[in-house]
Amino acid sequence: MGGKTPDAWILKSAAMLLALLVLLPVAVVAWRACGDAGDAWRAVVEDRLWGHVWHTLLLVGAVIGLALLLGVPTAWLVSVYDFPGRSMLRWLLLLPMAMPGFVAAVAYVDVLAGLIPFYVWVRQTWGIEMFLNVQQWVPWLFAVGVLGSTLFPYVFLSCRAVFSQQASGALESARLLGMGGWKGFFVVGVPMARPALVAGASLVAMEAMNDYGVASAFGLTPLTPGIFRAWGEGETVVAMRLAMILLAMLGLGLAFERWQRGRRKFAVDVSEGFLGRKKLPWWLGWGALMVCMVPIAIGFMIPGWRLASWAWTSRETAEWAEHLRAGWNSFCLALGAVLLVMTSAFLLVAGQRVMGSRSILVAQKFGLMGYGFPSALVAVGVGAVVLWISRNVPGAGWLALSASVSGLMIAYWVRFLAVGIQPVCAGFEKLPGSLREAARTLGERPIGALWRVDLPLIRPALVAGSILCFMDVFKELTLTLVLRPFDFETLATRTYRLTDEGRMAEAALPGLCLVILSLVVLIPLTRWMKGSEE
Amino acid sequence: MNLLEVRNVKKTYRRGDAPAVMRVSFDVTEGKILALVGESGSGKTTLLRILAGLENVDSGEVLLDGKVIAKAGGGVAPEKRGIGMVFQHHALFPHLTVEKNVLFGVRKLAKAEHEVILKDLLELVGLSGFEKRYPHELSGGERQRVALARALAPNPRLLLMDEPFSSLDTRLRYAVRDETRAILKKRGTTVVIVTHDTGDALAVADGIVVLRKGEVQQVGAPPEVYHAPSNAYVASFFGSCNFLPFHSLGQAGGARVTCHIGPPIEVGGTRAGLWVRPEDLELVKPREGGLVGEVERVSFGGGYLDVTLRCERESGEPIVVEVRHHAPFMVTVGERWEVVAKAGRR
Repeated sequence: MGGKTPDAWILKSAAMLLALLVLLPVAVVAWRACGDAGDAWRAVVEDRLWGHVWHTLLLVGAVIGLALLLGVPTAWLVSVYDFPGRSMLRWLLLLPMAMPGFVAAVAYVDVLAGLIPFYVWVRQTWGIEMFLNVQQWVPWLFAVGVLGSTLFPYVFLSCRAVFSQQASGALESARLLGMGGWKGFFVVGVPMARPALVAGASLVAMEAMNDYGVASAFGLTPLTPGIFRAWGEGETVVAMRLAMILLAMLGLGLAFERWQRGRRKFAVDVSEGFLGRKKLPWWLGWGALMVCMVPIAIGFMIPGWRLASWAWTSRETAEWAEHLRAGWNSFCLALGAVLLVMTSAFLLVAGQRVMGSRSILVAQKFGLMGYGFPSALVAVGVGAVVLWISRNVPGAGWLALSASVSGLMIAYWVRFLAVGIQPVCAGFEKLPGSLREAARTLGERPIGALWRVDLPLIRPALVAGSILCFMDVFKELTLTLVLRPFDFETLATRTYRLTDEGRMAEAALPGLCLVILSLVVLIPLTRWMKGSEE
Repeated sequence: MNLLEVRNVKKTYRRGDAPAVMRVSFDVTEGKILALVGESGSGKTTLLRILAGLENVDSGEVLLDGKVIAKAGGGVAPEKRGIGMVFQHHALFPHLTVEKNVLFGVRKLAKAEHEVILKDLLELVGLSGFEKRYPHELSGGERQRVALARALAPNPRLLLMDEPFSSLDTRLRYAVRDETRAILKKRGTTVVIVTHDTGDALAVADGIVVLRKGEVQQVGAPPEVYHAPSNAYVASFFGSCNFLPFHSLGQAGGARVTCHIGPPIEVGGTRAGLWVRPEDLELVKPREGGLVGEVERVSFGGGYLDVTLRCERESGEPIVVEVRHHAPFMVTVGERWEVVAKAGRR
């Protein structure tokens, strides 16, 4: 476009620098993993490695299975049938999204403790063998239940979009051809929803892989807690190697997904039509309502109610000052991360749009990649750098603190940059390019056009991205636990630590704060999503 | 005096693709309205974007006021050209009021001047009192007029309009078209309009450039382009056209449909004949030796009938002729009529 601007190269190099920063944790981990680990690594290989890998696979597989089991039928019911409470269920089923897994775990951990009479009974009735088995697998049941029931809305959301919008035309025709009801579900619904299903399931898998709070609350040891254990023991190289293994597993999972999808692509024209919902007879209607209530109850109502009642009974003894300080810390961190993420997201997307530069597009793609890196890997990668700085750069004290806080910021930034980029990209895609060109024919320079035309118009997208990012950082546990400065607590780490110490009633209050905040954010957000769907 | 000169401009989007425009040259005299017409893909919009500075040229030059504004390897940036543009879908800024849209390009002028410009322009386009409205509160015609006012506000040397009437419905379109021409003529603005609609071009422009596959087919005033097209493509682009091969015209009867009608004769190999517009023909009772055919299709067009006849010949393919028939009598499918040149057009 008519002449190069002098700002071009600054913007381009800034974008490339950002891209390199996203890759920094992986680079550090890969490099350090090649270091000498000595006997520690041998011990881990002989002792725990297989267990970590196997538990990760088992946990992720089981959580995906449960999320599909809960998410797909509920999405089908609320899209295709009419029954009492249906329109309310459409958003009620999203509530578990506001319940971070490690918060829900607070409410369930002590149920586990209440199971002792049951264990005793098992031992007396079926003997020691059975008892050991049960004692080993019951925590799994709980961990999978908690993760599955708080993560299933990802599947629900993507499937609902397919069933009630994209596939409505095909489902209508299937019904006219005599394939109504559940036949339609298996013959048309599921095959058409497959891409959405895979997308939803991959998100669930990623969250499950990154989980630290739930697994460790129930004493399971998949890779993420394993990495932290090694890191905590000072076995840096071991932690790095385990992190590389986690990354490799993620990569393999991704490759498998690509491979099995093959060349199948679904050309779905979004039909204007709206599926005429079939009214269920009253008894089936109530049955459907019950089915849909199950995941809401497990993933939101039961833990929510327990947290609320604990918070209420402990309100007088609660350490309010501590909670408030933690809340303030969470708020500041989240705000800082939002500023960082949204500024760079805007820079990356706008720069690419305005200049049509390939190098910035590449930088953007790198930025999106960060979301796929395991939290544990980002945590130890950034952690290693911070550690190195605090050990080798003189001036310790406040410098160590600021290194730690900025390390945390960078880690959030790497993980959540994609959360900012995506809505900003979507926002720009909706703007016709002619608006910017009109501004230029009216005498504005490219930067001026960006400022006076694009920025005000993509403000809703910037706001949405900020909210999403804020919520993600506010609830973030894994990175924060590893990278926070000494004695620095956020609501999330406080909830986790109190649970870990067995002080559930006290953990309830900060946990509940997280839930309420997420709810406050979730409600306008679903409105906004609905608005942009129309 | 020539305000704009386009000299042998060429532009290719991707290496290996056919050029979007090539060997394009034309001039625009100050105060005149020039229309670039062609089908989609003819390169007319590319050419307009080159004039605006939104695309670069591969070779050739564009001169404004005698100064080069576009040449190979860059040119003057769009914001420094002093060229205004009205976009196809108006491209009004949705977050700004009519007032702020119109004044977008004159921000640097003094406040007092703003008021004068705003008042003058809104009066000119007939939208006084609309200052505080947002684009979504306006009708299609009103938006078009705001877009025009916005483009005129910085007082550009040259105004470009990209399919300015295409998003309006037919009835509104004629009104806005006449109005726009009146406004432009009143301000004495020099304009280049891009359109695929020949009706728009003929009605609004002082001169027409016909483009096809990136190359200029003809440059001329509207009547010239319509009545004396330089080739078959231009002839048929400006309205349907019958090709009457010479050797089919019978001996005596053929003489009646002769070169008096006007369009030039295409002499290409053995296929020599006449290009005749349907409105230059009429139907009469069939006589011996004339160009007689059976009516295949009749479509009612309000004040006239569009009649398609199929004329069998002793040798060769039958000729299909279209006639725009104004006579008071009705024509129905299956009847036989003779085609003759309209009286007065012989």
